Amino acid sequence: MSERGGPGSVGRGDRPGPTPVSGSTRTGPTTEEAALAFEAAGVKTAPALTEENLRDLDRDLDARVFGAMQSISIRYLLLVGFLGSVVAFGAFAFGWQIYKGIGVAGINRPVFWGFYIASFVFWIGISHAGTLVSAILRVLKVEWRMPLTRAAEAMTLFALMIGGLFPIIHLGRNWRFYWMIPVPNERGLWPNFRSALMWDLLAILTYITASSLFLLLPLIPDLATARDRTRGLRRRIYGLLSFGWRGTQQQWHRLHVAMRVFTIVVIPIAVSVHTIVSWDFGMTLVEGWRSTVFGPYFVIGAIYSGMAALITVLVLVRRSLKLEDYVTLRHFDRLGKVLLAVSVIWFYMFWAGFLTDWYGGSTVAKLIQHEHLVGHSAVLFWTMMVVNVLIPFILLWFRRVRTSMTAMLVISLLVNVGMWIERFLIVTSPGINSLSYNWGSYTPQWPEIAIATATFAAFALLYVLFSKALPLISLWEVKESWRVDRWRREGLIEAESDVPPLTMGVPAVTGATAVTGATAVTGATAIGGRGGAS
Amino acid sequence: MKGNGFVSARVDGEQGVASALKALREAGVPRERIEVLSDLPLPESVLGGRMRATKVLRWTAAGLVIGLLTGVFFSVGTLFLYPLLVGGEAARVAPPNFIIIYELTMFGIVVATALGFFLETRGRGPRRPYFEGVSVGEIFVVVDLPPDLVPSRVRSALESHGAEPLPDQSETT
Repeated sequence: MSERGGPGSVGRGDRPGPTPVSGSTRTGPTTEEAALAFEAAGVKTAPALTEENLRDLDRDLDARVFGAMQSISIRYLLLVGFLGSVVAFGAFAFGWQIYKGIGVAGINRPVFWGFYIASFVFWIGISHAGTLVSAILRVLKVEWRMPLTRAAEAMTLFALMIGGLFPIIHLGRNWRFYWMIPVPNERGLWPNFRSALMWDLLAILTYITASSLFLLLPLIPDLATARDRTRGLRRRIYGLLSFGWRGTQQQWHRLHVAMRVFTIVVIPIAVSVHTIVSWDFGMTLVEGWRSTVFGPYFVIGAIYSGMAALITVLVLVRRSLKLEDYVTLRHFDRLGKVLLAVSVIWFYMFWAGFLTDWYGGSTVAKLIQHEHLVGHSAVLFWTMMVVNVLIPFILLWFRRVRTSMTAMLVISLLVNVGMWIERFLIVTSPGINSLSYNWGSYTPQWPEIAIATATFAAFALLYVLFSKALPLISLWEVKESWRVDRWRREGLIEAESDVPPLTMGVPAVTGATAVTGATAVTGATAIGGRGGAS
Repeated sequence: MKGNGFVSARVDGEQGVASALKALREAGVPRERIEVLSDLPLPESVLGGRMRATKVLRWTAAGLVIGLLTGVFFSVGTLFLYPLLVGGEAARVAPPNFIIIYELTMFGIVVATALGFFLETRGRGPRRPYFEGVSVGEIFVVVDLPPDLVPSRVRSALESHGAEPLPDQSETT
């Protein structure tokens, strides 16, 4: 899809602009390259929009988001059917495993943790992009987060729902999983709170609760809008979920206070979750796992895979829901930079552990490294290094790559392939241990492959269903941030406010005044995003 | 808070809100009986000062304490009440206890904050007027009339400041 245009142009040419709204003064869509060029030159520009312009934008945004929610095509149904079939096959595989016993899986001495635990760590990692990234960007008042946060937070919830299933799937007697719930079981025993498994349970429970509420709270005003725009059963459901929201200023104030608490609390929760997952490995006496660096290494790995997954999701959502005017190329430019920075930090953490083992590790640790570098798992190891380090490091320096949807989709998918491999290599490393007669390898069996594949389909299915049930863009936050600039100019808010003005994803509006730095250039035409004047 | 019914009016933009609030103040309506309904949070300067304090943070604090105590009970209390006869003694396993206490404290905070928000938002008492125009960007002022004020006085005060008083068939949520 071409998204070209230069300063002075008003259209992208091959893509229709935003849906015209009655009374709208719109002339065309955003001109992303012009905005990018201004940004590269260090020129700060912002379209100075009137309330009338803003109402047009509001209507356009509502029409797109609610329009996408209400249209259900044959392709959509086919996709749901396909994903549902894959999930159903995974459920069958799990049923088979319950019927036949855990022996149908490939895990056996000395590799007791295989696909299931690798997938568990992977999905918990994916979950970090949403809530953690959203919360960090909120705390830092990063303006370009606005159209992205909802999609990211939903991702967290779905990834956690899936990741949290794996320890249960992995159990020999799945039906006894409730023994971990902190009440005495039928034998009068409390769970052993000193077990790392209990830490996992509590950390994931806390994180999934916090993430669900972090998603739900700012969703409530949009649910109330959805309630007012629908009829019948949908209206009743949205009404129930909007908790009597009327939009009073006291309710808004309360929402801001609650969100502030959540934003602060959710960051340490997210960090603790993946640290605790890393301690499942790091606190054992198993070579290849025992490491003090595993906590931060896992956290940064989680952020890395989560960022990549967020980019994948955004590319697909942007395309399928036609949100190009709101989730812009400049968002991907920023996300690409963040991904590059995180990839470098991830490699640094990897190297810190690797070099320590290389130089002063035990014989077994060195044997595991040898196995990874030139042994049986060398193909996996080097694939991981290429897709996690080499490709992002070489390509993400270029804006052209960062603003190409195809390139970003491919890179983000590759990073996640690499991160899954990384978890797999860690989880299966006990194949080499201090007792050479006890060495062994691990080969996944069909139920494990089916269940792991089904979880990817389940994630996609949940997202696809979510996109039709709830707004994927936080409508009120985007609309509020559009107005911050005007409120500031009119002296209604202080220069430093809680809500940053949104300057990315503001579609084109004529008649607006382009503000360059502090100087207003009246009579100019804003040409989109932080469009410039010709 | 006893009332005399509701009077509602549609206002035009932030300036309209400020004018309506001024009119209502002049007519003797206390601030806590006025609600401004909008699809976006309005700047406090428009509303004539800081918002009334919310109790959400009290819920947060209560959640912190309850979560902390629950964490201590689970990690230390159960070990004293039901000692495991293998391993170390209960009170000596402080680092793992810290993890349990930390997670449950956080859990208490998030659950209590959300609970406080939902309970306060849901509200109590009679149903209050709501207008679907809010979702398309219109702004409304709702006055919960004090017993000593007649509706016509409030209506005319609003009208004189550019607001558009609405008939009494408001929808409720």
